[in-house]
Amino acid sequence: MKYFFISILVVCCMSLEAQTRTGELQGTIIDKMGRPLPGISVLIDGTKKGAATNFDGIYNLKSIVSGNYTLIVSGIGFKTEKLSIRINPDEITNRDIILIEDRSELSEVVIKGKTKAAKIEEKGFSVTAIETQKLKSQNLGLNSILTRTTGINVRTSGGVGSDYNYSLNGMSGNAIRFFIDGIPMDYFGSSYSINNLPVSLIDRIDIYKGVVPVSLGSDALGGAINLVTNQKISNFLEASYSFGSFNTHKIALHGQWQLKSGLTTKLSTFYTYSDNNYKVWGKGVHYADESTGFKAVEFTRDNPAERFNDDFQTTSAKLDIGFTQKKWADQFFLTLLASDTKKGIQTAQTMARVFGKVRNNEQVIMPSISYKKTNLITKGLDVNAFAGYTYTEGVLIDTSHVQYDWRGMEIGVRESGGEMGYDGKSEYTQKNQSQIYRLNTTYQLPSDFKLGFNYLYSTTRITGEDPFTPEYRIPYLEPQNIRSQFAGLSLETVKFNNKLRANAFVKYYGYNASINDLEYTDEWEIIEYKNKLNNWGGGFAASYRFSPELLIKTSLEQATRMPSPTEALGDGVTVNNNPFINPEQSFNVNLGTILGRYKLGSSRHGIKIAVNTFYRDVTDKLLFTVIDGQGNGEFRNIDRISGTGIELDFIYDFDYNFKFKLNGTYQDLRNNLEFDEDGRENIVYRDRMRNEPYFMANAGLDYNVSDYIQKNSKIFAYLQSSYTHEFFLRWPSLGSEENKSIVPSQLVFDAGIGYTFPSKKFILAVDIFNMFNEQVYDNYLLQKPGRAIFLKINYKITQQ
Amino acid sequence: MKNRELQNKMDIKFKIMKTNKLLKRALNCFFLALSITFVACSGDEPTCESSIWYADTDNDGLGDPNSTLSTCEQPEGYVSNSDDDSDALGPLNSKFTVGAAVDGEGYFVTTDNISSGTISIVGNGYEGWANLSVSVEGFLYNLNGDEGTLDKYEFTDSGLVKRDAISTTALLPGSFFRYIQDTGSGDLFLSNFPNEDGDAPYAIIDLETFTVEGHGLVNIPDVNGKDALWVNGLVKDNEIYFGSVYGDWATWTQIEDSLITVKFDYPSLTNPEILVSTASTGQTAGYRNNGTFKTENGDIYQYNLTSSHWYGHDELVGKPTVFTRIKDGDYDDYVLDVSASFSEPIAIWNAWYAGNDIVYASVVKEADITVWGDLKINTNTLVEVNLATKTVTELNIPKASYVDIFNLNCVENGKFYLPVSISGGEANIYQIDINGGANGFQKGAVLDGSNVFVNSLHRNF
Repeated sequence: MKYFFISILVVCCMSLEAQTRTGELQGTIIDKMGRPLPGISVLIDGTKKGAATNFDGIYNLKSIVSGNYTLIVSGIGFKTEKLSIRINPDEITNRDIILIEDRSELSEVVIKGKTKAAKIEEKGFSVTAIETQKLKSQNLGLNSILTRTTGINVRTSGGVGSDYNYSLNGMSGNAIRFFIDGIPMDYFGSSYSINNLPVSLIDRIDIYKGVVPVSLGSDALGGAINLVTNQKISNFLEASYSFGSFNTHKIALHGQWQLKSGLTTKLSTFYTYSDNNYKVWGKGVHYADESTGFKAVEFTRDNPAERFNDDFQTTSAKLDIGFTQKKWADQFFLTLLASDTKKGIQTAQTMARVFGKVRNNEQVIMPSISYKKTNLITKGLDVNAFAGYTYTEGVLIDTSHVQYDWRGMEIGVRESGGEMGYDGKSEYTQKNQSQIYRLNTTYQLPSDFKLGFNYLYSTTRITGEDPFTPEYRIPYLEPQNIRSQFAGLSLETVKFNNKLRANAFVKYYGYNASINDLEYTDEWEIIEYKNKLNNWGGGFAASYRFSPELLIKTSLEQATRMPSPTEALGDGVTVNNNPFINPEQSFNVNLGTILGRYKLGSSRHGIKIAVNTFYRDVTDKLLFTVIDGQGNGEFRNIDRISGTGIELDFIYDFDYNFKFKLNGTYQDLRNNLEFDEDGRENIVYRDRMRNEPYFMANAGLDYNVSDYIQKNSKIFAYLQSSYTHEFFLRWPSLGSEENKSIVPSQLVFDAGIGYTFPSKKFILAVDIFNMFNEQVYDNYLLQKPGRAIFLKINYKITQQ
Repeated sequence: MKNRELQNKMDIKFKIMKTNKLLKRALNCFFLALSITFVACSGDEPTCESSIWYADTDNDGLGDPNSTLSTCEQPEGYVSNSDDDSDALGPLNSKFTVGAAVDGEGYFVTTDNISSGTISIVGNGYEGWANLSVSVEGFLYNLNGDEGTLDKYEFTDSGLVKRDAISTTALLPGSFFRYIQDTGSGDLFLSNFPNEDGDAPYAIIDLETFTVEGHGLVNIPDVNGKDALWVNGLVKDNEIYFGSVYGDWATWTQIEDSLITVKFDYPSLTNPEILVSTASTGQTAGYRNNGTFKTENGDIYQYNLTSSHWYGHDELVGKPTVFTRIKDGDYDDYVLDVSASFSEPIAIWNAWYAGNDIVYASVVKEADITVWGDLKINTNTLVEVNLATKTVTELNIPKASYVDIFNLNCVENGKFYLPVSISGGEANIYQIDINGGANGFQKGAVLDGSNVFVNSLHRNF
């Protein structure tokens, strides 16, 4: 382990003194605001010498014969700059260049995604945009990238493919919505989800906290995460293979071919497999039998148990065929997505119950069609349309008669079968059929105003079946239908020489649902329940740049989450329909500032600080309320939560290549329910929310080195630590502190290094997670994996 | 290893405490003997009439009838009455366990005083469901769902200390135990109600060795082609009596038109025998606590739950709520018709035996309940039922909710203690004089109230 650090350090130190004896040209390309511009082409006119700026806007041209030249600097979205330079022998000429935005190409810039992350963060929304470029070749999942981000806490229940829950500024579960290129991800199945998608398919991740732009058309109560895929039209084929601990293998293959006719094919496929057979021990992880007198014998760190029914396998393929860069369409694609997931279910809510044969499988097939055009019919009208159909079939198999313990041994047989369910074996299949339509347009108005409109319509039909369970206990035996509509309208402007950016919006939510429920009165009858809901919301986001180094932004929204079909209509078994249900509401406010990048001394050192504060006030939150003696109940609008929080981001960099990042989030969300459903005073009123982390911090070092070991090679290395402070599983004020159940503090160190070969085709990466093999928990008594090492090989063919 | 050391230390401490007590008593006797001798010898002094004094070890003003001294003057630590039926002193603050439910979570505290002061779970006590535990001879046995174990805790001066754990997941793979019962004959009986096939899981734990004596599934036989929907067993000597309700599994309808108890040999759980009473119909398994209980002379009584709110239909409307008796292994002709004491339809949801043929029952008028939630507000009346005289007395305790009280095993010195949580009002433990009439009660310790519902109260020492 020591050597690993030393080698990182050596790499860091040596490369700081990179020297050359020939004439050389280098510099940073920035925009008017001083932001570095990646991917800008720098060409010495009349020669073949050229380079593109890296992620930090830095370019470097070597071995240039001395003399006078014209330098051509160009990038999409910017006016091409030509300037004279002189190269002296044995000297490094430094030339920093400012590029001016080209308005006529602005819309194209959006598509091309240049410096999009920085731009998005300036729009006034409380948003963090992560460019994944550097991380793509590492063995990182989206979850682990996101959990290092300010304000986000991702809690997983185990290893690869395990259940996950996102918390964004303290709001979690279904208050957070996920999108891929603006389309709600709920329809893509569990394989094509934030949990499993390879980072290599994603260019950028936008995290909107509390206030969500209308282009993300959904009922996001606490925020939204939008995954943006590669939108660049270039020909490439890229493959990666990662393998490592717990017999984990991840293969991804994606590429794009555009013929001269504009006929374009895109392919993204991935396959992931893991045994997830990591070691567990401690509370709940025990065995017992006649030989121990049924006394519980706990497994220990020195004698741990190994997970044995936790394997995960997913295969996903997405094929797009269509046209790009045609007169009638910038992009037009017919897409087919298919995925297959198979996984073992090892435990229940805690590790006390262990299953040896319970399985969960899912297949998804999703054809869709998409169309994108800027300046459609009239200049300034951009249209983006999508239509899709999804069929998802998921099955939960619990048919084993044999029971297991943590030794993986068979410890008994249940005649009625089933390991999970008390009522005997089951094989529950749920089929969801959805249709989804989206129309997103923007229209450039005079005086720098822009109108945005987004409309989303979806229908879902859910049915359930189970050959082993009596009909009256099968959820959705009779189909459940839901139709939902979203419409959003926004007005956006950029004023005062780009200093002020503002966006005001209104949103409409409509909801229409019905379920056929099997009910017993004098005989079994099918009764249809219907529910219809409407809701309006709105908000604004604004930012003002006082100086190139100081930006202040604020946003607020009255946000809504519509009840899920099950919440509104029940599942036909234990959850009853509630005809009086209302949407959950939240009033969200953000106020933040971004300072920097400030130069310290020479321009090589820089710091950037961002501070954001937020306020959330959730009302009408749904709570399952028991309504009869058999434990059946319904969802009611009872709960209330409110609170504030603060986030801090700090980045120090040296030459943009070496970075130290530190971020922290403290949130104080409280139970705001003064009286419970029976009108009684709530003793935990104003208590901090239970089972919810409230202090998280991350610190990391990133380093980019060029030309080390081999010329034109690149090394990227990082060391990352993540801390989550302990929190109570149950209400903090009740019970004596020393007797309370705690989800313990965790401090985890990860590190990785990637080497890009000079050809730029090969990248080798090694990552080590949970370096010190800590016993870590995100959830109470659900242990996560210990130390794990992965190696990844990336191969890319690009043809420009 | 640490545990064992601690155990040894505790044992030694206990022994020293015992030795101290013995020493004190011996010294007391010695001095008493001296003084008596001295008094006897001095013929000049006026003689006094010595009286009997009773030890008051727990300092509650009540004397232990089994520990006496005869002397003229009241010795320290002794009182003149012999009203204490429990003079033993447990570790600090451990005489009673008070369990509470808040917002779907369980908490409990232990205390020495439930007659006055305040009992609060705020910043105090333990997490867990005291209503899923029993306390026997200085130990608390708790079903721990998080870890899948039955945990054995010892009451100590510094609180509860975990001593041992039996794996319930190994005993009962794929299921859990809903009930835990101290059989009173040196073991615990853990159980759950039957599945669709009539199989009810059980385990028998020997308390002295804390080992498993038996476990598995006991098949509750069908009756007239109907399924046992819910059962709860009561162990009496070599037999176990499962109160029940029979009907159609899927719909909870076609409730069997009689009262049924299933008797097995214990602990073998063999030889099932169906006992039938035609006194009424409905559930004899109880709701939150066992609907079947035994009295000091070994007679078994049970009541039936008839509420249409429990079944979700009105098949049982008009059927009376009764107490019946099982004597010498079968129902006899004893019937106490509780419904007859009321002018409108009622149901008993829970009942707790307080000794001396007195039962306290939570009675709810059917007409007061329109939705399920009404049971949780001030709709419940506490009645005192004298099984011997067949009298039913409505107590003037404010109406509250008692349906969710599970364990109520707190009788001391002729008093029955009951947590009374008035919705929108105050919450107290009430001290009720057993057989004391409609107004024979007084308010004791103050409880948290609000949405803290005290669902169990147990006397540990």
